[in-house]
Amino acid sequence: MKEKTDNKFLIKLAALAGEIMLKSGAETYRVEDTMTHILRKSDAEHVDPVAFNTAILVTIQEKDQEPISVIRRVKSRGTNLRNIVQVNDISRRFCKDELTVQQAYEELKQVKGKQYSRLVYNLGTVGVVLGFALFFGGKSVEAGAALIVGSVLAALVTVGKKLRFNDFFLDIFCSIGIAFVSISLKQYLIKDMNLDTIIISGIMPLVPGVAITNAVRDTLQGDYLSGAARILEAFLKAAAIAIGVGIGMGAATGLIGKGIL
Amino acid sequence: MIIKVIGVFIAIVAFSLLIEIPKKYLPLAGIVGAVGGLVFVICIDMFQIDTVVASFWSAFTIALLSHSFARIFKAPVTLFLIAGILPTVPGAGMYRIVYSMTLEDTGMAGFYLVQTLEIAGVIALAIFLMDSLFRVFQRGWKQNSLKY
Repeated sequence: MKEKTDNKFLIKLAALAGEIMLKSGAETYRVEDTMTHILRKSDAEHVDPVAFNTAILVTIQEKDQEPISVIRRVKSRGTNLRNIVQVNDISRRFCKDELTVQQAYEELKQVKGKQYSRLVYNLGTVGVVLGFALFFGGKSVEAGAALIVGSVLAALVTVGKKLRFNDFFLDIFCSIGIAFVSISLKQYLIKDMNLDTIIISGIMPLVPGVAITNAVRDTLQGDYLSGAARILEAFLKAAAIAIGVGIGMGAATGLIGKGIL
Repeated sequence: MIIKVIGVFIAIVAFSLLIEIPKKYLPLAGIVGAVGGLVFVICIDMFQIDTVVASFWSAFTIALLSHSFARIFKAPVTLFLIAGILPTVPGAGMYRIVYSMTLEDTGMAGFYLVQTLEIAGVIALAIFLMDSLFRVFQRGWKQNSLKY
């Protein structure tokens, strides 16, 4: 015998799940899908979760009763796939009746924060640059340069986040640094390295891969609003990197001379 | 070639740290990326295929693997797809556009701009194809389960 679930609590649960997912950079259709599955646990006639990339609206209506609605505004968004996996897991277990509403809510409240420390994050940044330097045909010389450029990038990201730069400016700031440091390295320290490889590897941690992937998947689902917003995000990020690299190269060649390129 | 594949594996695992992929999925994400990178390298180095077409096959393989892994290991597709797709994202194209502009070579800048847009387009196409294919096969089979 299925226990009758309290709709008010259920909608709270659904909104919380949706909010965490949206904040962690899930596709909007996934957010809606998860909320629908949670809300279906009630016997309500209508359940309508709607997600945009900046807000969630949820409505639930039982026969002959007033509808209940919740609106959540989501301001900050990042990418945290662990949170998405965990919310996914909790909602699956909840839908299979392995968790009560209370338990699911308590577990959802635990889902937050980062699992890797600042140090691991910075090492990751260096790793991306190093790995791509090898992938783009770099030899030991380029690998060494990639280590230096990667460390500089990690430092710039850390500083930028400390100073609370917005995403767009952070990308410009970092790519200026990458271009400038790479060209200086070639000029003064490692003369026989391939400059292209190093700069391209340097910008790889910043490229809008997440935005492109989510844009495609949202658009495919018919979520044109979110899809278009994410395409714009991808273009902005790409433009920021291009502007940054341009400024960095301009500054470096201004100091050193164009012969370096 | 082996060095390139190892490189891309390191890069993807490291990138997975940046986007907070849980520990147990790190090697899997790395494998998805490495296989994608391998396909790209084979296309370019062995068959001398155009970069755009090579990107398509690479993204296609990555999307296929991501969907398969998502179903085998019961995790959202995004997990593998976002990390795995990175080697095909046209960072090189973006750089070359700016590089040509710095040298005031408008012709090459235009060429690379078009190429970069094409690569972004084929990545979209590959993900789109795989998503649609898997949806066709999934219909009726797991109607009421959560999407991956």
